[in-house]
Amino acid sequence: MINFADFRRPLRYLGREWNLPKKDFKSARYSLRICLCFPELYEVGMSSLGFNIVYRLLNSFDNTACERCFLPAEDLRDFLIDKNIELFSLESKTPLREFDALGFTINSELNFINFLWMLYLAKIPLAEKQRKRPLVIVGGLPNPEPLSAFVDAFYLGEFEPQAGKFVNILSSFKNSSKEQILENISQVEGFYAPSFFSLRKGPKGYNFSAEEDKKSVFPVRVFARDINKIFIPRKPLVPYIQTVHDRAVVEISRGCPNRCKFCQARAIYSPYRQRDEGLILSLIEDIYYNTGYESMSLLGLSTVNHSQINSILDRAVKFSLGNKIKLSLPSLRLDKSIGTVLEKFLPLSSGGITIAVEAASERLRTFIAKEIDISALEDVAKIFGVSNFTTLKLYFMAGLPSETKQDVWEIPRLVKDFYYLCRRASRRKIQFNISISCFMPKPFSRFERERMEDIEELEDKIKFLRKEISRIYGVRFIYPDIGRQVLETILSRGDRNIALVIEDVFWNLVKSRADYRDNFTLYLWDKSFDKFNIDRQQYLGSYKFSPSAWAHLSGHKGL
Amino acid sequence: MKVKITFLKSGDFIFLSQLNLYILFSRAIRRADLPFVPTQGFRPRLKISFLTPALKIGSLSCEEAVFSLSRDVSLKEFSAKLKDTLPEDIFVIFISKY
Repeated sequence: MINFADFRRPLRYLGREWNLPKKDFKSARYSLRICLCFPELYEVGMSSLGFNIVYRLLNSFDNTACERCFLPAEDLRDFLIDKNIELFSLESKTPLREFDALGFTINSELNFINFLWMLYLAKIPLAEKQRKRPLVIVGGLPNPEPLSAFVDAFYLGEFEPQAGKFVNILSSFKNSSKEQILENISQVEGFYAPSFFSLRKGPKGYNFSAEEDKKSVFPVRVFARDINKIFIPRKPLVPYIQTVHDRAVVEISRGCPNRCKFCQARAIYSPYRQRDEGLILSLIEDIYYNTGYESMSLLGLSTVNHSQINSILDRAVKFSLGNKIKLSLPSLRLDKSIGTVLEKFLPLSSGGITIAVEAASERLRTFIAKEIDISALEDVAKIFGVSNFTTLKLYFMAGLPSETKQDVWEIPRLVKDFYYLCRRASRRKIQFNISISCFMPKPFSRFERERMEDIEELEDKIKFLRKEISRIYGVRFIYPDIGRQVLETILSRGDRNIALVIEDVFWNLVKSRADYRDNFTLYLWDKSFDKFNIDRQQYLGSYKFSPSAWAHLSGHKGL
Repeated sequence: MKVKITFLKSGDFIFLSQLNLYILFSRAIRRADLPFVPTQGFRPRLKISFLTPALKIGSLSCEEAVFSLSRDVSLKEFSAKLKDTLPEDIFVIFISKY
């Protein structure tokens, strides 16, 4: 038995949140036992909306017991290795190996190494071919090919419409062989068993074909046609320690009606669907009284675009004033209506505004199809004059296709102009944060075939921006970790060959028992790329004339 | 009206830090829909004061806290509502007017 008092933040491992499903997880009554895993620390995993939805959804089936497991922090991890203890689930402390299936939510390519850590700590063979049970299923990845060697089946898209079929198949074929389960599950749209298909690189790009003896539907991404009628958790878990996003979340829309060319989220959550006003308000009320959260956030890729945003905000603000809670929106789009949207927040005296501008010059914004109204910044400045907003964050991107020196020059100029506009409008001190990230040509975005700029080019641009922006008094510059973003691009555009590299890096990290933050050290990765003679530049260059490694996964289907 | 509760912090909840204990209570009060008094600061929080000093993490303890309420609530109603919204391991022993 582990004495959790010896580790940092013991409440991470105890599985004692408020609103835990009233199930006896230890009992043998359930015909299906699933452990939902998140390859990041508890604080990060518990902040993921998708993870919480799937957890509640699977537990809503009477015959299913769904538990959770997160990546243990370094101190507990080393203890587990030294004492030869297997990684366990939070609720019943059952070793992961004893479950029927493990469902991983991986929403970032940078978590690939952590995913392998979790399998390793649970003493489950990494290679898909070497194991019979448990079934390892991964959801949430736009391009899952790099993990093909480690995963039995991927799930593409939104899980709500297919959860019933999934539970049925898994519980009725509980005692069959893995091949049989996979054959049945790959008949369900949304599931994709990589071992049923081959993906080979030829001289003219990638070739995707079905293996001869396997029967499967062609992989498609599934989305729910009507997000008013799907399962919505009204009793989300409330952790007793602070998490990254420690607040209630109400989803108001999925997808995005805008067509910015660099955006991956838009492509994989398409089409744009929105929830009805009445449902949103009943969710706000229910979730507040079930959780007691003191702050609440309305979630959507572009909340300003909701057709009823004004009346939703009117009523939501009224509710939060009555109950003294904080209300916030995710990053806003600079729209003509931004002034009226922000005005609704005036009675609530707190918080900050985040605006994604992406590119400072009009020409570049038109080129990337980010059609925003830059003059609306004046409205934002006016709002700052009359409100209590304390912080303002602007997002920009460096290294966009066709970007010239002139375009980069315009970023500090825009920041300066806007900063003085706000200073004139308001006498209070406003915290200005300017965040720059590097452009990454992510799969399924409309720029998926562009090249990513070299590290040297990006470094020059960031250096310049840092110099210019830090010069403006009172503005804080948040700059990106370029190596990490390059790595993210490589992994997100990866094919099946890259699995060798991922595994090699992982074993090197295991040998040195490195901290998790070393996962992103680029030179470690370079060493492994060299070892297998894979040129990492091929994943960063342009794909203009050949099929990409993820082109076969671009089908959509609504259910 | 002010209500003083004496409670036992036991089980897994001995790992709760003082800040997390405050958050736990404030969320419990909100879930119970009890008439709380917000502080007057920039970010209103609930008025809860602990009479016992903060203890180190991992110690079983019996502590006292005072809740400020904006209108009168019978102690019976208060204890019944709070019991439904507090986890079992935070065991309320005694409730009185303060």
